[in-house]
Amino acid sequence: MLVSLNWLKEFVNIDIGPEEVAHILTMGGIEVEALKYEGIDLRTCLTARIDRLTQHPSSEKLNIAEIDLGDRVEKVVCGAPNSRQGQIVAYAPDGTNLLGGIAVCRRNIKGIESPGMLCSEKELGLGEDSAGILIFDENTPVGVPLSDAFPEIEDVILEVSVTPNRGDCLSIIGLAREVAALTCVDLINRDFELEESSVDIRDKLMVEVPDFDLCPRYVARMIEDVHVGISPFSMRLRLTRCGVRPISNVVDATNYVLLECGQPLHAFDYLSLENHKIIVKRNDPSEVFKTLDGSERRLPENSLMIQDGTRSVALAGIMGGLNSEITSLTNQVVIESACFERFGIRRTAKALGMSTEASFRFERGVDPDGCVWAANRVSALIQRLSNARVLKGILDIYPTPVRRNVTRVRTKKVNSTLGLDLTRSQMKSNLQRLGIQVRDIDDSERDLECVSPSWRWDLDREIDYIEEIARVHGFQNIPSTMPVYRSEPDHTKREYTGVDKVRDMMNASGFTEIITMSFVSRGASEQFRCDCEGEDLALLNPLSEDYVVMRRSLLPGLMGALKRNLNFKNENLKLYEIGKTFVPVSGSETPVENLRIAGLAFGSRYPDEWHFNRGQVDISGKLEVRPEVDFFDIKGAVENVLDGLGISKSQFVPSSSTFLHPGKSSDILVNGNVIGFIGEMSPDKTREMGLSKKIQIFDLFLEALFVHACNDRVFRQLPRYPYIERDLSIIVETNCSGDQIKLLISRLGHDIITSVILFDLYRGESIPEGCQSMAFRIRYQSEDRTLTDAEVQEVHSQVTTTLIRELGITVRE
Amino acid sequence: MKQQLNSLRASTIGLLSQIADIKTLNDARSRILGRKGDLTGILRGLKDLPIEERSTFGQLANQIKAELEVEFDLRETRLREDLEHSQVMSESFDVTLPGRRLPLGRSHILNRVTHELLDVFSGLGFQLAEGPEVEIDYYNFEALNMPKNHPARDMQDTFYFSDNLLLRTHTSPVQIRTMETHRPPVRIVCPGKVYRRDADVTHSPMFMQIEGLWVDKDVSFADLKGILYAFTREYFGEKLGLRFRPSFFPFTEPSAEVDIQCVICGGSGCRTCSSTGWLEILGAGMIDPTLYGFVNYDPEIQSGFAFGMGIERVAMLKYGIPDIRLFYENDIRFLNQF
Repeated sequence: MLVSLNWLKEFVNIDIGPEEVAHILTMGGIEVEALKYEGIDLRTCLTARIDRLTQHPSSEKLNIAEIDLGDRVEKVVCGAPNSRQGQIVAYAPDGTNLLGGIAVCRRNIKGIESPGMLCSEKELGLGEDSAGILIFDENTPVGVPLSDAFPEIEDVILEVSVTPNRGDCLSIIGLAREVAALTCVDLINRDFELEESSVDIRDKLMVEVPDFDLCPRYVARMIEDVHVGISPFSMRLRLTRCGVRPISNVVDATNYVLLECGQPLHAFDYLSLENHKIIVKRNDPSEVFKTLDGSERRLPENSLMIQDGTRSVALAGIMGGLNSEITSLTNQVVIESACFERFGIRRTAKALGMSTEASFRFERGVDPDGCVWAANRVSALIQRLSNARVLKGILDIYPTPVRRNVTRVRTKKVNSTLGLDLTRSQMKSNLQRLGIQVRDIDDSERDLECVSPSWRWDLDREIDYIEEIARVHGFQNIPSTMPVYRSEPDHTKREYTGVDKVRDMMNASGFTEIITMSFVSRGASEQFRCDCEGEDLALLNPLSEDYVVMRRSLLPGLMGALKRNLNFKNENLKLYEIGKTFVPVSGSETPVENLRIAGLAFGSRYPDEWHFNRGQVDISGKLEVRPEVDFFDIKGAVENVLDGLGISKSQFVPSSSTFLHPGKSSDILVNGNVIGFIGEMSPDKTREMGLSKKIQIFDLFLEALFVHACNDRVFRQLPRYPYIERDLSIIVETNCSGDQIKLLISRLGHDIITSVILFDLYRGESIPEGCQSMAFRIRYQSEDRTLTDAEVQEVHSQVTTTLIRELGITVRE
Repeated sequence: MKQQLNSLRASTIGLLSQIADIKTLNDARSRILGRKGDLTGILRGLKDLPIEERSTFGQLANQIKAELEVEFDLRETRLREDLEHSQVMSESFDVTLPGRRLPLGRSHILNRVTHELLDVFSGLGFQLAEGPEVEIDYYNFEALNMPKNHPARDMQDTFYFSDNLLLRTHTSPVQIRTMETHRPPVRIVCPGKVYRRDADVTHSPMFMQIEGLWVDKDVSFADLKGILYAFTREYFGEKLGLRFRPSFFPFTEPSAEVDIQCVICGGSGCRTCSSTGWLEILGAGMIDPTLYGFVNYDPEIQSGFAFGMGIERVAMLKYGIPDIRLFYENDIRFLNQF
């Protein structure tokens, strides 16, 4: 909300600067987000009367205006189409710097010297109109600085943000009340004169409110002999400064009073009310209604309408109807000053997606006791602005006056809630400053009884009043203490610690963590799904097509991050994400949220640096200069994670996943349960993703992993006797897995084989087709004695013969 | 013979000082002291001497031999040292070349900040609580004192799956879920992802919050201030002040917005804080008694406070990051900066 400080000062007697006002409001809970100093650039501008207009000798579009500046006459060139002799206008002389960006200087315009310029509203920063020059009221003094003619041209505009509970602060008077309370000064009561004619409103208009549950109070006044026209400059300026577009004196007056006291008002053209009636009732659901802005609207059920006995003329509390709006021909005006029920207005406005100055205030609650004042105030204004006559009396339908509860506020509770030590009279004084009625209860507890003022809708319970006491006391004046508590062991971080450990492991393996959106596009969701999966969980109101369904896999997000980085030529990537996936479950309203980790590796295995560039021999003996990541890089990372979690028994078995390379992928089993997969993406999927290189991916269910995580490691005695190592180099068919051979060797170990390591693997030249060469280093060691060569040799020979017998291997020399 | 021996000694010592390599030294050693060497040659003359002199000269010869052996050894040590030294001096690396390291990965900066925040709050006595990201209306709004048609719902633009199912707009549902299942005292912090239908430089449709809740007997607003002062001192440093402004949240009463003195300018005013010297960082307040009704706590016995902040906001302030979208673009050049 934009608030004019000049206007505010009409209602509260403060002698402090704008910054101070902003600070006081902000610290009182009404945040002032910005201050704007207006009109300080206009100090050199003068009012001027156009005495004569003559055509510019060399331009049809330009005039030469002879302007009276009181003590002198100047001739200026002016191109405004609306300039007329006798008008009083704004003159900016040479040397004026306007905040809008115009630096005025003496100029020769097509042969005529012009010492300054006549300005439009927009050029002066006083409005939006740039079609012609700004024209002041007829009685404006001539030849004086603008700020003398219109003292409020210099103003400070506060940009105020009001929380939804404080509807009462959505007006100048509301804010003035706050400032008065927070600074301990008095509000200024501004009286106005209202002359009533002898004609009684009751003879001309009838108001009925059958649906009074949605309209607790309806006040109407009538004004005759209205001359609709333009408002005076000072009113237009005020409205503009507060963000409201001036329209006509009648409409401007209703907006002015709305801004001033927060009571939304509506002006009807009396003659367009058929039957001269106003009926406030719920809509007919089949009705289509055309609002002031020209839109035809189908209204939701239970919308409250203003009708004239034949048809609807306004959407109550939200917007008037086109059929009863004030026009330049309007002569008789009905003023509506009502209090509509908050939630009803909100329901309708929300359903229609509308928010107007009026609906915004009704939703937040207007003062039911303020309706009459506002009706009188706007009538007096219109009377003054357009020489109209206000009819005698008001129509006021207020069947059940709004009553405020009496609330007991316990002084002890106030102090214990806030951590303060206030006396009862301090509390009382804080509350009274806000207009709250407070009564002492003189029993042993010495509590208070409070009744909220009519303009506040947020004060009902004891805690509400406690907040008010704290607010006026100042949050900054509440001490800060440390709460006391009984300590206890914390069992809540187990899973978190697990996740943290996984992160550490992944980071140590060179993977960088990313975070992607939990929602993905429908297309992305399709990319990595299995046939067995059902419907996606889809948003009703997605922000864009990219964020429509909840992810059921982390892979689409990872692929997105990969692509983004490839676009910026970062082509060697190891990424992972830990996050939830969402799967709808039939029979349950909420989906299952699974905590998962997934990752990818792409590009070179090693950084492109001098000491890594010598290359590595690959499995077929070829020297790879900059080896790409393969299955075993990502498997290593996964093994680190398993190791970090203390999971020693995992199995890697071929995976049947459709988007993985069938020969270079595996499911991961822990204690017989599948907890995820790793592998190279299948060539066709890789192509579909638009990738030119192989990509390795993995995906694990973390919660399932944590179930198997084991922190109970047990110490094993360190070996005291030396070991003996023997190498075994064999040729074996490729379908014989390394795991299988290792297992066989270990089992034959007679407790003296402590480790078996595959230290060389080779396929290619000199090895028969379908076979590979494998070299194992077997370590023999005993816990209770030093082994002899003979002993070791015996077991080693057994190993060899068994492998020959069981697997048909050939031993290499 | 004495003269012979002494001159051999003198000539050998003179020779030694001129020998510059070990091979020459070894040759000289065997030529002079070896089995067929000069000294032995001189000693052969012993047999021609009278017996009484033999022992005298024999002793002298042995003494000189021992002395020369030492001299040879010294020279040899010296030569070996010189050789090693010159070898060492001739070998060198360019020590400015990068070390042989496999690059480490990094945790996402937001998770790192979350971790830091959790550490601070753990130290202050808070435990951890988490909850689902897809929530039902009851936990996200209703039980937090935001009935349907309440204007406070406008403060949070919500993603819906159905009338009743939505993406949580804050971590506050975890408060309700925790209080439902735990009797007081409750002291928890709840970090997590939250969602609002909003996207620009300072808003991401998905972002992270961390929220604290402390319910016990006799907990006051002053305690809330104490905890938050302790937190900011611990996390942002001793120097930065805090400012509590009254505000409104449906689930707290009294409610406060908490500003921290600008981390960039320290409060003197700069662009980051729009010259105010203050930055909004937290929302906080005393738990509204209405909430206790939903979870069967007795508001006459229990009182408590809650606070919440955006983790991105904290990270943006701490690291001077200008645009919230950077966190979720996952550009490796960004991720590797922290």
